Amino acid sequence: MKKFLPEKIVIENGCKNDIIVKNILKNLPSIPIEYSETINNEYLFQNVLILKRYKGDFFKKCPCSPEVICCGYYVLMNAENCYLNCTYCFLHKYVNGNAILIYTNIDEMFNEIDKVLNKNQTNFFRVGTGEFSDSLALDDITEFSKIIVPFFSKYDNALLELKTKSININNLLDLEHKNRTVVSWSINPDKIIFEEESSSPLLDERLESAKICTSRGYRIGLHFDPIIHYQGWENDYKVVVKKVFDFLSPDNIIWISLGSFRYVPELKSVIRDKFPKSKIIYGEHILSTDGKMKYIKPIRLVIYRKMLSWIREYSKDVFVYLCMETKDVWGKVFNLELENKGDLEKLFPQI
Amino acid sequence: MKKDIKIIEINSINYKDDTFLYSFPVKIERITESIKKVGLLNPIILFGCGDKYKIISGFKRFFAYKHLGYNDIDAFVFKSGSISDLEAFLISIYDNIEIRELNIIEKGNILSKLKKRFNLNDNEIIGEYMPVLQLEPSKKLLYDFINLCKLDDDLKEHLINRDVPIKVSSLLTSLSDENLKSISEIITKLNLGANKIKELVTMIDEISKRDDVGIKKLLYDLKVIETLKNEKMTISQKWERIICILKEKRFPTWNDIEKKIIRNISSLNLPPNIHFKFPSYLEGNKYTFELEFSNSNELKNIGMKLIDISERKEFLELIELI
Repeated sequence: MKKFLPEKIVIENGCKNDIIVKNILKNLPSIPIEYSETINNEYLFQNVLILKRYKGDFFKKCPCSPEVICCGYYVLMNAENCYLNCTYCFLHKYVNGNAILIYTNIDEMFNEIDKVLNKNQTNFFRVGTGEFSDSLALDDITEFSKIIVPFFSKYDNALLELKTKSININNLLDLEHKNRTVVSWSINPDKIIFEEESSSPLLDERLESAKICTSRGYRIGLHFDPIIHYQGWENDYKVVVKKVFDFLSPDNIIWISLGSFRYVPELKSVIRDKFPKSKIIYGEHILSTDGKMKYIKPIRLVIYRKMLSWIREYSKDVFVYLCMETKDVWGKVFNLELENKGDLEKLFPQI
Repeated sequence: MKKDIKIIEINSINYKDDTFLYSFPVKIERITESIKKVGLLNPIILFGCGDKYKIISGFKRFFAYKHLGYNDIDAFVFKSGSISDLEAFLISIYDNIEIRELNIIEKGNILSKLKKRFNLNDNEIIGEYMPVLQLEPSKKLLYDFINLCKLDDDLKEHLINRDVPIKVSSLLTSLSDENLKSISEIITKLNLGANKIKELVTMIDEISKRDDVGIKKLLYDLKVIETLKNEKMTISQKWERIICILKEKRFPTWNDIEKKIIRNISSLNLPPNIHFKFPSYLEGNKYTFELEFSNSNELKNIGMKLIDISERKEFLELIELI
């Protein structure tokens, strides 16, 4: 796994006493530091780590089009951008530049989360930190997990999901998580990892890390997302499914998601220009009803049905769901009639 | 900037010096007719250079005069050393933009000359000269225009005649020379406009990259070149055939499914007053029947037909697809 080494740490005035800042400076002692009154746009295009306070809402509903069945996920805005540089990542379009932003006012974040969870005690919340950044890729530097995992251990009506491709699990191993944290990995065949996720650990490394987490009592989530359709995909993904169950017991897997490769149309030219060797944008994609480019429906149905059948060979019970899919695809794959009234949320395991 | 207006002998003008030439195409039919009818309304602009003159602005007017066999021409003349070459170039640009719209090739020629002939750096060109040409100051756009110079003259003329915007034209400049030649032939022979050029180039480029096949080989293997040369087909038929070939190759799974859908619908033998519609690319979970009837008997007959259709194997296969 490629290590992150910024050329500089830029710290916005006013946050240098925040715990995250202290952790980062402790763990990156040789990186030059610059203090700045405000963060100018020019920093955003540099290989720097920017530490600043976030001024918006930390706790948001995961952005999902009304045309697809929503799973009711919540995301935390604790960081923005990622150095793993996977070719297909929406961050190439969403974020302007190379800099990674870490938001340091986590006391405000926690106050916000606490208010929402306490105000809605009869609701169950799945909350993730891996939407705008990888949850653990920088954890050896920020030590954020040491703060957020214990924080979520207090709540019965929430599960924290740390979604990652990395193997930065050391900080998790001795935490009192009280079963309120799920550690999940995005997984793909090694061919895809080599070609599209080249800065990320290999599949076996990710699964080994998952296995270690299970030995510490964590439940594991797995995200087959994005599933790339190519000649030979069936053999390769079947091998991945087998490996999952070679490494992990189904009892330790809380959920598996399936999501075929999809992207906003504007991302296509970005991928083409930034990663000219990548072929993922040359699949049979069409503009779907939710405004994203997706494989044509017959291809998606084949993908999901096959993936589900392979998973079911190893476990009849593990919860499998589709990410950002339409009602009709849900019906065809699972024989389920779902509406966007919380139907899918109710199916999730609530522990 | 002092300039004199003079009558200059045609033979004393060094028209081969193209330092300030960016017009394209250099066609003189219209200007020749105009001069014949009303004379030269705007003197050309020359730069003194020893005993000869260089043309700063007015190449077409000069060539028209030469074609008409005139011996001399009205000109504004800048004395040698009175202005720099770059200032002269700027005069030439302003002389033209005041009276006409420059086409994309001409803008490309100007930007290319500013960089390669006058050695300006990108920031200078982007900041000072792109706005003069009414172009958004952008490095990408600068190079999109400069790269147009590599296209052959036939293609350049085609792009101008069909008013193809820079966003589409720049798709062509990213191709290698060999690939460009193959695609250029299709574009000019089928007289394609902007949308079709974009569709064609995108489709060919994506198939080539997906399958790791050179464009020239691809076009031969898919019989695109053969279709282009087929004298029994009209231009329109050739285009339809070529784009169909490319779509089949680019979207093979969808192509098979679409054929199956069309085949099955055809097998249902729908009467002319029942129309069957399926959602675009099957995204959606409903088919639609559109019915036309003018009395209750017709409606009854349609109803009976629909019941019959609903039990047909071909119809059930269609339902499975959606």
